[in-house]
Amino acid sequence: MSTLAAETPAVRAPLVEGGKKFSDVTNIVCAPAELPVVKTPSWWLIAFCISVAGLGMYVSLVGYLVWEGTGVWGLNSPNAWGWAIVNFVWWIGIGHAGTLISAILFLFRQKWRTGINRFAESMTVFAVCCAGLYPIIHIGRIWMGYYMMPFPNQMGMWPNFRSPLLWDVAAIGTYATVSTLFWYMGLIPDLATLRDRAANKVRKVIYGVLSMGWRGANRHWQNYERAYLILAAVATPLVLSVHSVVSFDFAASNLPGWHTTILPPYFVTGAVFSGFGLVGTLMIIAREVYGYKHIVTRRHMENMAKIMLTTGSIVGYAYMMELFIAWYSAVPFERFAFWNRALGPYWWAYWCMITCNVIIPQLFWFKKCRTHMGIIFVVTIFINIGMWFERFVIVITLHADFLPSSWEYYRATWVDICTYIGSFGLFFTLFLLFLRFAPAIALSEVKGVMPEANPHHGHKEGGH
Amino acid sequence: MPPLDKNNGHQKPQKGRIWKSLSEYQNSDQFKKQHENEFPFSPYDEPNAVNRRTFLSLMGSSMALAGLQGCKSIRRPEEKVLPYTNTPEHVVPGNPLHFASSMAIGEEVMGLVVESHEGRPTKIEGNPLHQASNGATNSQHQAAVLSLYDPYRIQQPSLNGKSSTWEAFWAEYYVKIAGLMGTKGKGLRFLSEYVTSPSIGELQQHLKVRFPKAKWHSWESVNRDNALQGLHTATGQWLNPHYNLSSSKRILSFDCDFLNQETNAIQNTHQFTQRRNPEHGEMCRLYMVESGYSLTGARADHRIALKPSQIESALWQVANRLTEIHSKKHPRKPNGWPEGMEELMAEGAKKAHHSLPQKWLDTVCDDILHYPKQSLICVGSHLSESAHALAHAIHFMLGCIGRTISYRKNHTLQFNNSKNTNLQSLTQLTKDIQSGEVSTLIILSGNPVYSAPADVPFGEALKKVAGTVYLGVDENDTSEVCQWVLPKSHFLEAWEDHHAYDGAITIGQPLIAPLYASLSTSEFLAKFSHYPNQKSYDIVRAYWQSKIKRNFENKWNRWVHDGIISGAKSKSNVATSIHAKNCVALLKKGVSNLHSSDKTEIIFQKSNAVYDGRFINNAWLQELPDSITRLSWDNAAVMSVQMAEKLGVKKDILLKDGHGMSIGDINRPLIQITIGGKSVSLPACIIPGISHDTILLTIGYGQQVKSPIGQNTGFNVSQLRVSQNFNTAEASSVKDTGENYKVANVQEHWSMEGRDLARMENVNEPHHDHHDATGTHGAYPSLWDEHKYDEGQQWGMSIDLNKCTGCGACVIACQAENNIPIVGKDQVSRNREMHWIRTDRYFVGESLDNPKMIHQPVACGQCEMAPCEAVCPVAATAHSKDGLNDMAYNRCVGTRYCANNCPYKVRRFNYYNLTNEYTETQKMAQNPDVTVRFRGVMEKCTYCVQRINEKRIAFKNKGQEHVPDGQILPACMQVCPASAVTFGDINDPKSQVVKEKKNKRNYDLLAQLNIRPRTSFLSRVYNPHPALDDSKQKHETHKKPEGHA
Repeated sequence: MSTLAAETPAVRAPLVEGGKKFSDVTNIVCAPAELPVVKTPSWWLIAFCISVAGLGMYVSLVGYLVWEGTGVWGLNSPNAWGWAIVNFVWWIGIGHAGTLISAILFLFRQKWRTGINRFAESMTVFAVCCAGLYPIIHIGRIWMGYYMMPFPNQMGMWPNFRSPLLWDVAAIGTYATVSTLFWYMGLIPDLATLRDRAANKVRKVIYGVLSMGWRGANRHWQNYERAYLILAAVATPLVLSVHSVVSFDFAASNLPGWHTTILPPYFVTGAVFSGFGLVGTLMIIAREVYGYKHIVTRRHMENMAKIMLTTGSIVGYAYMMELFIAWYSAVPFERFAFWNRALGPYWWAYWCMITCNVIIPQLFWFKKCRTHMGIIFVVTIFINIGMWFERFVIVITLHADFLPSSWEYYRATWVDICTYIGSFGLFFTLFLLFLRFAPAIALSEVKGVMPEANPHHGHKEGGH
Repeated sequence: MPPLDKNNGHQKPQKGRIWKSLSEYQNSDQFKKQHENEFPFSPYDEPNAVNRRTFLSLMGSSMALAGLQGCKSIRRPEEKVLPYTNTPEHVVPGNPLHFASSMAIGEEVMGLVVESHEGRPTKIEGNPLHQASNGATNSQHQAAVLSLYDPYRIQQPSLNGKSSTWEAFWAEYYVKIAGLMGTKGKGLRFLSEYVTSPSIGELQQHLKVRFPKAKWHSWESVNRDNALQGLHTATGQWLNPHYNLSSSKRILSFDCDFLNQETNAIQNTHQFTQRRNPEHGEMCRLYMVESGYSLTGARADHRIALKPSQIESALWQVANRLTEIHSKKHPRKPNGWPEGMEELMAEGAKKAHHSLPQKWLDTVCDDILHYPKQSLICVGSHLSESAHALAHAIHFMLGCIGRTISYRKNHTLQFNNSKNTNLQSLTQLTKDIQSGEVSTLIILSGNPVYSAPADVPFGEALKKVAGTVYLGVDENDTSEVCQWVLPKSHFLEAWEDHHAYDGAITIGQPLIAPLYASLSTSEFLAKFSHYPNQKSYDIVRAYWQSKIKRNFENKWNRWVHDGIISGAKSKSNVATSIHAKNCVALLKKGVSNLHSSDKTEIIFQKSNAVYDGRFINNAWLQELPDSITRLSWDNAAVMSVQMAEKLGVKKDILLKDGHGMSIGDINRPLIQITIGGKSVSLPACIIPGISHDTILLTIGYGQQVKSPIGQNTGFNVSQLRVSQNFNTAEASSVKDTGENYKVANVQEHWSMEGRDLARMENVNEPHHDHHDATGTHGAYPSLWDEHKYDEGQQWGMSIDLNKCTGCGACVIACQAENNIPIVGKDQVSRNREMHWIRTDRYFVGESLDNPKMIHQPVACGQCEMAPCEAVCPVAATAHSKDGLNDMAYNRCVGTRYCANNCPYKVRRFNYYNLTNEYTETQKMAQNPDVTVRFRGVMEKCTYCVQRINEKRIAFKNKGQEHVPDGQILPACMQVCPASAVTFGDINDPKSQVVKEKKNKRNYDLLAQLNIRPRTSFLSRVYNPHPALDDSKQKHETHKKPEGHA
């Protein structure tokens, strides 16, 4: 607290607190990964078992879906898209924080990102896995899904490049590739640290292979940093493009409530918002469990809270703008779509969204709330829920479009719900494995922002 | 190549010599030899290489050896097979044949033309030569082909539930018949459905000779007994009334749904819609007084909803008013006008509950008397005998007979109960059984145990009969009680002949040999006659041969070909007068019976889908949403908003703009209706515009059938009916049970939300120009050079809402033509029905008491700028050069994006593999010209592209590139009794569809989206009486819709 209280614009609080040295940081971060298998903490085992059970449910339900058909979900006419697309957009949104933190904050030299970037990047990669599966499993004939790829075929057919779904395939594919590369490249020096510290042969071999021959040579570092910068530059437009393209699925259609130009920025902001939401949720847990409090400091959390406040407010502005433009357009269909969102049969989803996304994050105007881990935790949970409802509200606008004769209510089935829950199983299985066996904090980068990394460290002020 | 010679390699090249490689430089002999060969590495030159021929011969022999070894794996049929070398005459594989046939549903007979693919009947159309059809049919005719292939039909005889054989049956019954002959048929009774067949009539005569003491009973729970008896009393003759709607200028209908529920509805619809065309002469005006909300009521210019007991009061009021004014105008009474009629009318009007508003009454009567001879008073066939007599008297007074209404002799009554009504006949039979007079009862299809009135304990009585036989198609309540259950042939499996309602005589040709060991009714009856082994063909043919003296062969062939017996005299009209004494007596009785009721009244009506219940196992009909309630797979207690409020089951359903979101309401409150000690609980269905304190119940559901299709569908309301008042009832109590019931409703929304969807206009007002939706192509500027679609034939469609009655025949026709699967109740309640065309129903107007109703058929519009095409990632839906929005099922991966982006929501998705479990017979029902879809693909209307291509190929073979207009009939167009659908080439300025599209009433649905649908609509026109004009409501619909924000 004292450090925070002392923070002034001129003298920033240190990014690593508690007077830790390089070796301390290494020890703290490597400890969980280096625990012998027999000493695996019981909380991890329990969490892992639950996650794997969730994953098992996910896999069996997808199997059931493929066997029976998409009818096992609550889809109908006119709601030809349902939870699968909601979850897809939600997961892909979650995945946005990683790239934002890694790439954009890196380019802007926001050094505080180092404490959380590995975490956020991993989350991105795993969330993109969860997201990417939904569009695949939601199609009616999964076994024909490869038709969406431009491959040479005897029919001489190309996919339809006019379709936003095809843009989606490209956007998600690119995003998954770049964010995985980015994540893995950042891991290499830290994996090498683990290799060097490995106490047995197996670990040595595995980490040895994974670290791809990293020796920490000067030349390695030079190439590494150059490559990191390039990847960051490549990834930066992706942060904006991926969710913009996802929003085209809706914006490029002709449905009232979908066909709006506001959607791309609205989606991107929402994605960053939700991404930070989930990073916040998980980070607070990891801080407590792993004792990363000195590396992921209150300042980190407060900065994240500020971003959530900003993006949450932008999202709120977008909601208001939508309503205004719908009214201003004087198009009865548009007006109805938005009126119906707020007051129609799904009013509860709309107001849930407004409460969670716009109203609750306003707590972060207060420094007390921004720095209180309990409050941040609760607020991030609300944000996660609220952003899910936002996607639900948007997708389910389908239920009442042009012809009232076709209007129908959409109800998710147990398969929808359990598949969604199961996708958390997939996410957390991957995440827990990562926490257990990989350095969850970017060691080399954190060290880079520590005072010791400064060549002038240890010298007197103004010396040298 | 030899190794490079080092010395040579280092030699400098000779001056002037050009070389490409070291080998060439060395110029060895080997190189020279190789160089001579143009293709140096050809495998043919290698003596030991395997060349193509060797390869093939080696492969061939090894395959043969492998074949020998795996001989057991060859699945050669053990039976002797015969190649299809001698094809049946006329059969060209792939080309369908068409045969005339006919189908009887109760009293109504329809001439049909049936399409047959390689011996499988797949599609039924109306016979244009039969006037009652004029080429159209209703949904029940369309669906009949599915019943033929129903795997749950009775397939073989059974005795007391155990399967048996015909031999066993006849072994028992020939002995019985011999015995019965000894007793002159004492104790032998037949109970059949309504018989329309003259050849069966002849068989009845044979049986009468053989078994003089046997009796024939007929039972139809849907009948016109009141009309027949009433007219008989009034005129002294057995008559079928025929409306001549094309020459009727003013029509006043008292609960007479002549466009849908009444007999001859198809012809009525055809004539009515002709008279409703504002472009062709003066429109007729239709006034409707009814209790429920019928399709005829939906077309009315003025409609009043009255409780069932008040309908006849209203009729008396009108009759009196008309007589008063008419006798003032024409003091000379018509010839044969009974004495004291005026007084009787006055008495009736005095006694009548004053249900009609005075202004309405005066205006309507004045209007009718402007056109006395061109007006028509229709009376619902369920109204009392006296109501029919009264209507006859009015027609007689006004001089309408022979003009707007004509009478034809009833030819079929003699085959049935002669002078008795159905109720009398069944009651008599029940009594006879109870008194032990019946020893053998032969039931010829139907389900009388189910449909008998509650106070006629036929089902109980049936158990007492020593020998009971049921010849039928489906197992039901009645077959359950009978000892012998025998399979009856479907009408497409046997020869039949019928006297149609309009007097025409039709021949019913079979298209397929019986699928199971079944007999037709006539074949079965013949077993009781002197010629037991006659086939249905022999029976029908022999009958007609006996009627025709000369040139029979030629005539017979002509008749079979046409499906209609030409020159039937029975079609001529009969002159009628009033049988004064009887008529007055009946009317007096009618006056004394006039009453009004404070209780909740119940109306029983037949189902638009399952009729009286005979189609309960037909999945197409079960899944056909009701035109009014939009419910499928169930019947419901249909009531007004007021009634629902009274029962406390009204949910937040409002009609006004912006407050009509009543979706997702699949659970409907169960209400319990008690009549005379019997109770039935069934779901409430609220329909605005039904008379207050009235509940409509649809019969036919809730039977004990074996087929999984009909099982547990709907509720048995037949048990509430009593013979005293068979078609209506007063409820002892109606209450909310507090429980809910899941229904399958395809459209829960009532209002158009002020949107410009199904347009209505007033013929008395100038045509309204819609600025937001011009309906003309190219109305919006384009950013790029658009595809012109100006070459070749470009298909387009126009649907005239002013003709469409919303009957739903197109839905089933489309289903039959395009192999559309059914999805079942559960899936319908999840809104996954597969119908390619649907009839949207909207209510219009400010009042929930009596709103207008309009139907709008919507199928794929084949938009030129199709929004579905742009969003499909795999280009599975794309445009053809003749302007069709094609669907490549094999390419579709099922993202369903197209369905989202379709503003009409006409795309249907196969959520499950709906066609996977078809039985062998169900497979036979599929149209081979249309792909049967797999799960996971999207489908939708194709304008019946298979029919387009069939004609295109046919004309191309003749050397014609252009298919002449009117040659291609999509299934919906062909079936439509109202001719509401027009299809053709929009590039041909002379085509009918272009003429329709040039009509000022033509508009594109959601034209503002600029998607340019090829299907356009023509607005509906009303012809309200200026004095009663409630057109303020209509202005609302014309107004450019305002938003709700």
